[in-house]
Amino acid sequence: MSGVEGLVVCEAVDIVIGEDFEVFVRDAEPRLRRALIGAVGVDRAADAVGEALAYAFAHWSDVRTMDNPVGFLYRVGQSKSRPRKRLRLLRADPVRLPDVEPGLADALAALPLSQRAAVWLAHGCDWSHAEIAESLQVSTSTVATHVARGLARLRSELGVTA
Amino acid sequence: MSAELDSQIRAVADAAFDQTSPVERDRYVGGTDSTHRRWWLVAAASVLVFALVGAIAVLDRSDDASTTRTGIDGVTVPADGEPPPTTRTLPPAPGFDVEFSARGVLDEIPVQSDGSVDQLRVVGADLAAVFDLTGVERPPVDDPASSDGEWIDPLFGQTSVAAPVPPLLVTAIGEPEFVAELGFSFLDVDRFAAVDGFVAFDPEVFTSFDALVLRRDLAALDAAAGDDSIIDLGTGADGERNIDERTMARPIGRPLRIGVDSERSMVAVSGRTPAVTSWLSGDGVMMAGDSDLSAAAAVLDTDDDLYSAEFTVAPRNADDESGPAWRGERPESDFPIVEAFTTMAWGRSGTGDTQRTTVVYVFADPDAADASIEPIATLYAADAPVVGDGIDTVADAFDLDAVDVVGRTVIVTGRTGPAGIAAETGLFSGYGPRSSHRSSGSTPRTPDPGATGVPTTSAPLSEDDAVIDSSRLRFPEPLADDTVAFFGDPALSPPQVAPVSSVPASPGDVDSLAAQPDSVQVIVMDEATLVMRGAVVDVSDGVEPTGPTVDVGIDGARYVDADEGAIAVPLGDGFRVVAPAEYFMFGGGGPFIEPGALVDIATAVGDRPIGEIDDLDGFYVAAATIDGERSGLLIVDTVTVTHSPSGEPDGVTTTIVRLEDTPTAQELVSIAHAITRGEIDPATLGDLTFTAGQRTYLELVSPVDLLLVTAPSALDNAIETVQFGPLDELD
Repeated sequence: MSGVEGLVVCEAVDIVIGEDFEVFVRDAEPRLRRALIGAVGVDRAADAVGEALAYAFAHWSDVRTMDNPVGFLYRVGQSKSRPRKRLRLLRADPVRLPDVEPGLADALAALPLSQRAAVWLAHGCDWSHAEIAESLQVSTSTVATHVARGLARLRSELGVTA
Repeated sequence: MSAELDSQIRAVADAAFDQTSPVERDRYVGGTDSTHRRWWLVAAASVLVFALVGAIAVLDRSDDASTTRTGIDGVTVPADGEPPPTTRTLPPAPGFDVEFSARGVLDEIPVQSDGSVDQLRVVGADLAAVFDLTGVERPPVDDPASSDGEWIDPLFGQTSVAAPVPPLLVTAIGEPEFVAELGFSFLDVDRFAAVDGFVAFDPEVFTSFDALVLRRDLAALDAAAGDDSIIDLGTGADGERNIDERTMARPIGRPLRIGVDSERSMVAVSGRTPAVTSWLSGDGVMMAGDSDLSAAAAVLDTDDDLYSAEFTVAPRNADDESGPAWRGERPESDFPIVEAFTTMAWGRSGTGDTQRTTVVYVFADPDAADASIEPIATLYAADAPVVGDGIDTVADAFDLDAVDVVGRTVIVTGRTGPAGIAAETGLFSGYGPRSSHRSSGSTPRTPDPGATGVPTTSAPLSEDDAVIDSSRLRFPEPLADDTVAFFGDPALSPPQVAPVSSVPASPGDVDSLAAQPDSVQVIVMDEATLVMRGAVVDVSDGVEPTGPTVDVGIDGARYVDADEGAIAVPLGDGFRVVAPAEYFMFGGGGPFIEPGALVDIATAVGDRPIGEIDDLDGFYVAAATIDGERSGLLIVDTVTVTHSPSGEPDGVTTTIVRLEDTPTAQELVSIAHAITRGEIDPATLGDLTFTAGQRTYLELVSPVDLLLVTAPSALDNAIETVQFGPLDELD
């Protein structure tokens, strides 16, 4: 940086990450990762989580005060990883899941994103409708609608009534 | 039994979760992604240190021996002699749907299909912030008050706040027809990123692209979209014109594609399907991938209060040797900035009354930036002369704070001058320091002002500049008395069609053609709509047609290359090139081209002597340069109207001058003279006014004939938005 009078943040200047942030990450990371799989797919979930946590790191003073920081970061991660029209919820290797319809993962992946996110968060991640609504910035009734329609579509796609 | 399905979904989620691993710490507190560069550049910006203090507050100000404290509390730099450190990553900004940033603007715009970002103007703004800053209440979309436009004025240009408008919506703010077709309104837009200018040879390469964050529920749009999340407006392939399907949003009937991303509350609108598809999938290469653009964005993003960003990319692929020969040489001394730069960015920021402006120039290397800092500072000096409405010097429009060099960027910071935001906007949009810049090492396109009368920053507009030099107007002999016939085809007599005269869109437009010894500009109209501005240029050499042959009635005629953007007709001693006027302006036809019309023009002109091309069936011959001399109906650029006749700022006054009889061409010129000299005060002629677009004023000099008298900067908008027709309808 010759000739430039300024500052350089260098490796030698270590970054002290607050203990509370580390504690937060330990708790939030698995929840975020699980949730974001449904939004961006299994292949890009890690990237999305990384983006979300990086944002949390940069804005920790704000994020730490949130009532539902994971819900907020879910949206951040989702926005930084644009949804693909086609994504994978499971990796390519065949996964034999007992008592699971063989086409369920694909059918889930093929759901419109709004329905997939709602169904995934509600039934795959055990988020309450209120939590989902806050994260998706929609009303709880909209969440309920997305979930109901998503399940109906899954049943139709899989040819099941259960 | 949904519970059973619930359990299955849970099992899938469990399995998917098991297939992933915990995200490593480096992914969110360090790394080498694109934001890495941003942090590096930002961190180096001494001028912007204060913007960083908050962001680095979490850093430990240790007494590590390898670092040295700066004068700023808590900020350290490497000790002398230390090798370049490994930088840390600035955590990325949230997505564009969450927060506005210059980087976010670039993230939303796909590059052209040829992978380039050349010659584009990319704009974006946080309109929600602009509403907040101006205190303007948004009327509900379905409120009639939304279409009367009264709320717009305080939003744009009338305050210290200024922001661009989504190009898609610039002519249709509040228009019910437009809203009904697209399914959303300008009033729904919170943020946007768009390409506002484009120059590409291949019409399939790029058309306009607007990405909009909407505040309305997108359920209806989502439902209307197909499985590919795209709504097709109009029929046909990309770029295909269907004149029967013209609408306000699609003035020449070309289809539009709306990509709907309801999860992000965003839509993208473009005429090019691949661009929308790329945007939806996120798989394509975005403008942010360009290092120069992203470098400029990183500088702008150091200001937390940024609410608008504009990027201009220079034509990097052109240079003095390979560029078209028509680009006349310009004395080096005309360019204060002697080093080539590739990108300019202009950002507006602030809260309340503390508005700031930042201009960023990106050079190839730090040496070039270093060499340019003083010339740039000269351009922005308070006493530097500029041309504009109510401003004579830079100080009127812009209050310079600092000019700094950081790496390969030069950063100009300042605030709006006493003449207000409109004047500052004008400063950066055409006639200010910006137009004096030399870009990218190519031969500049700006013509010699001395030859054209086009005002530049080299001297303020004087009274004399506004007076037409009649000796510079030459008309074909004999001069037609019938104005209508002179303008166009008598068969299209009034009131069905009101012909239009042509004005150069920019200093680099028609005048570039004028630099050719022999050229003719043709206006191609389709009923009442401008289709294309064509140019017929005879050249003795420099053309090597390599494209397929084309039937225009002349043996050997063929496209200049495979892209079919220009036709070369062999002459005895050279070629006649028929192309969109923009082809000669930028070296490419791009979306301006109308292939069918191109063939029609070439067929109509054939190989007859160019001096005899003064009328063409079905086309308007707007201007010509024969043996190096300008001729034509009315070389309106010599009017050089940069002030409205009533003295109002450019583009806010609309006036109709009504004459009882159809004027002759000479009378038209006389009227233009009189208006320009202030001998006719349109304000005394009554209240018969109308608007066209947002910023054009018109002088209607007869019940049927239309004389466009407007600042060159407003011409494109004027031509493409004005609706021609009987006076009663215009009223």
